[in-house]
Amino acid sequence: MISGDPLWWGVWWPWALLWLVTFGCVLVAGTVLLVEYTGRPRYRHRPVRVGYFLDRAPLGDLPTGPEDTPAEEITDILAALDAADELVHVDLRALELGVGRPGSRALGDRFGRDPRRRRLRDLDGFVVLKGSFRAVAQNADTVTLAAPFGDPPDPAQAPRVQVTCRLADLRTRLPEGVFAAYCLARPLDWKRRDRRLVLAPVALFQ
Amino acid sequence: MPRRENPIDPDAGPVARFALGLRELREQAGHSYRDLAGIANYTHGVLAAAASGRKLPTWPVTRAFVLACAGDEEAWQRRWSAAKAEVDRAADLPPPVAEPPEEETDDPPEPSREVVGSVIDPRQVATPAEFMAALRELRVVTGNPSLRELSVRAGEAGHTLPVSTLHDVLKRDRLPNRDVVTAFVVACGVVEPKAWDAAWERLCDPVERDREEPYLTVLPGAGRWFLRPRLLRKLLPLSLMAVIGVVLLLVSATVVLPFSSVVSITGVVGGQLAALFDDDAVRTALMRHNLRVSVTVSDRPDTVANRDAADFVLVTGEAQANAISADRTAAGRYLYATQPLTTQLVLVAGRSYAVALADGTGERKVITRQRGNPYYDLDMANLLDLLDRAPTWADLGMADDRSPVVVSSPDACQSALGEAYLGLVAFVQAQFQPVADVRAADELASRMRPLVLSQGLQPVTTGAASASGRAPVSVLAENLFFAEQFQHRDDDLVLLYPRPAMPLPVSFLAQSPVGRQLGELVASEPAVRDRAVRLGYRVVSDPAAFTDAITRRGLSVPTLRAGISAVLPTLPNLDRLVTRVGDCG
Repeated sequence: MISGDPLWWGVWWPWALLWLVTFGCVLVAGTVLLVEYTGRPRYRHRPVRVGYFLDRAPLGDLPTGPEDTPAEEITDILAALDAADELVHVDLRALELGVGRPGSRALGDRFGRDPRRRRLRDLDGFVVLKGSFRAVAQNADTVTLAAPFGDPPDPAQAPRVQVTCRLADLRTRLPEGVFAAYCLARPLDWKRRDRRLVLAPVALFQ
Repeated sequence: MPRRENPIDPDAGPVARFALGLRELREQAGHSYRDLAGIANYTHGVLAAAASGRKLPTWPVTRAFVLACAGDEEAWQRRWSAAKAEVDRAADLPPPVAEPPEEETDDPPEPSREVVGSVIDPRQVATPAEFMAALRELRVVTGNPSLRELSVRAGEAGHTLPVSTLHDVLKRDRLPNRDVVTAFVVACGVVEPKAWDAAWERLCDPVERDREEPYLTVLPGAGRWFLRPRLLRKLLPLSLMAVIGVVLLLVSATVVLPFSSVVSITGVVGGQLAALFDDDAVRTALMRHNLRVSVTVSDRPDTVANRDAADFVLVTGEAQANAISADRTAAGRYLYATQPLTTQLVLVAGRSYAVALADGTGERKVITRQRGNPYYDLDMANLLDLLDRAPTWADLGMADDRSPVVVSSPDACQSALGEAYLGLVAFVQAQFQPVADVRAADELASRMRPLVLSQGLQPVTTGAASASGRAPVSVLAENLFFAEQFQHRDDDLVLLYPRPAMPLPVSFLAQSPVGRQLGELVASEPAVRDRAVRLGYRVVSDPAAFTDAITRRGLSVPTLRAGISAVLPTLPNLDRLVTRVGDCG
C-alpha cells in the first residue's frame, strides 16, 4: 500500500494524482449511472388489493403460479405480463401511457409511426388501464363497464373504453356509481359510430 | 440519342389520335420526356404514358404536358374533352384485342413505387371530392394497380386495407377514414404519407374527426433510459476522462500504484562506496523502481555481523569479494555477483616531488611521464629499491627538504586500500607472484616489515579522503583523486600509475533476489551510473562515461597501458600478511 514516505510522494505524485482523478471519474460516473438507474421512470403496478373480476381466457397459456386470492392471482399475472414485455400501463384520465422496460415491443413500434403518441388499438399486447369506471348496461349474464378518455365534463358523451364482463367471473360485488379502478385487458376494436374502444377484459381490480 | 417512339396508327381511335397530337406538340417544342418531367412536375414515365396511345391521360396530366410544351391550353382542353367523350361512348364496346408491347418510349417508364409520391400534391386539394380524385389519380400514375394488389401491398407495410373497403371508398367522393387513406397511399408507394394525412385532417369534418379514437401520449422513459441526453451529457465527459486516465495508467504501468509497496533493501557497503547511494538523484531513481536502500558502512564488510542477512554487499577489491562469495557458495546460499564498477590503486605526489622522483633517481627511473598527458607510470620494483635505500628528498635533488622519501598508505589493518597496497608490494617483492600459502606469507612479512614500518602507516580515513595536505607521496584509489579533482581542481598534484597495476574492482554481491534487482540497476540505471562517474569510478559496461566526465572537466585522460596486473593472495593469506606486517591489534 501507499507509504507515507515523502520520497515516494516526490517521485509518484503525478501518477498518484492521475490515479486519483481517474478513480474519481469512474466513481462519479458509476454513481451517476446508479442514481439514474434507480430514478429511471418505471411503470410497475403495485400489489393488487381488491380483485373484482378475473377471466384468464384472453391470456391464453400465460404461465403463473397457483394463488389463493384473486388479488394475488392478478398481481402474479401483471408481473408475468411485464416480464414477457406484453404490458403497457395506461392512465386513461391523463391520456398517457408508458411501458415497464426500455425499448419495449409492447408499444407496437412500426415504421413511420410517431413515437410520442399511440392509440390503444395500435398496441400489440395487453394494457393495464387506470380509469373512472361505471356500469353502463347489465343483463342476465353480463355487466358492461365504461370509462371515458380524459376527464370530460359529460362522460356519457365522451369517447370511452368499454369492457363487458361475465357476471359468472365476478369475484366480488362491484362498487356503486363511478369508481376508480384498473382494468387489465386487450384492446380489440374502435367503434367509430358511438366512439368507444372495445376491450377484452382479463381483470378489474383496485 | 433517345430511341424513337413506337409508331401509332392514327386510325386506331380517339386515344391514338390524341397521343399523336401530344407527340407532335412535344417534337415542335423540342423537349425530351426528361426535359418535360423537369418542367411539368410529373415523372417522365407518366408523361411518356400520356403520349403512348394506350389510354387517354387525365386532364391534369394533359394540361401539365401541354403547358410544358407551351401549347394552347384552351384548345387542348377542347380536344381532350372531345376525345374523352368519344372514349366514354365507346366504353360499351369490347377493348382492342392486342396491345403493342411495352418497350416503346425513349426511356421505359419506371413503375417504381417510391418516386411517385411527389407527382400529385395533396396540399393543393380543397374539397373531399378533389381529395378522392387525387387518390384515384395517384393510383393511375403509379401504374394502376389492382385493388387486390393494393390490399396486399398495404398488408406488407403493416396496414389493413380490405379490397371491399377499397372498392367502396374509391367509388365515393366522401372522405374515408384516416387509416384507409394512409394505407392506400403507402400501398401506392408514397414513402412519406404525412402530407396526405395532413390534407385529410384539413378537410375532415370536425364531427368526423371527433369520431376518431383519441391519441395517448407516450411518457418519456419508455425509451432507453441510459441514452437520455441529460444523462449522456454528464456521463460522456466523465467516461472520456476515465478512459484516458486508465489508458495512461496502463501505458505507464501505474495501474496498481496505490497497491504497490516500497521494497527496503539493506546492504553492507565498503568505504567510500556508501556515497553511491547517498544522493538524491539515485534515491529518486531507485524509488521509481519502488526500491529504498539503506546501508551499513564498513571497511571490512566481510567482518560485519549479520552480513548474511543483508540483501547485498558492495565491496572494493577482489580479496574480500572472493572471500564472501566462497563463504556463501559453501553454505549454499543465494549469491549473484557482478562487477559493475572499477577503479585502481594509484599514488599521488606533489608536483615537485614527482619531478624529483622522475629526474633524481638516475638509471633506475622510478616514474616516467606518460606521453601527451600529465600522468606518470610508476615502476614499483624501482620504487621499492629506492625506498630500501631510505634516501631523503634532498638526495633526489630537492635541496631544502631533508625528510625521508616515504610512501604513506592507509593502515592495512583497517583499510581495504592499505591492504591492497601491501598486496601489491608483496606481489612485487615475491617476483610478481601472489603469496601461495601461510608459510610464504610469514616469510614475506618478515622481509617487508622493516620497509613498511619505516614508511609509517596512516590511520584510515573514510569518506572524502583528502589527497592534498598529506605526505609528499601517498597511496590512493584513482576514483578518490578524480572525485576531488572534479570538485576542486588542483594542478599541483600528479597521479602515478603503478606497474604492475593494482585494479580495485567494485563487486556487487546480491544475497537475495531484490538485491539482484538492485545490482542490475546499478549497472543500467543512468542516475546510478552518473553518480558512480561523479565519484570517479569507471563503469565497466560503459568505459566512455568515465573518459567523457574527465574530458568534460578539462582534465586529461590517463593512459592505461596493457601489462601485468598484481594478483592479491587469497584473503586468509593476505590477512596473515597484513597482520604480521601491520601489527594489527
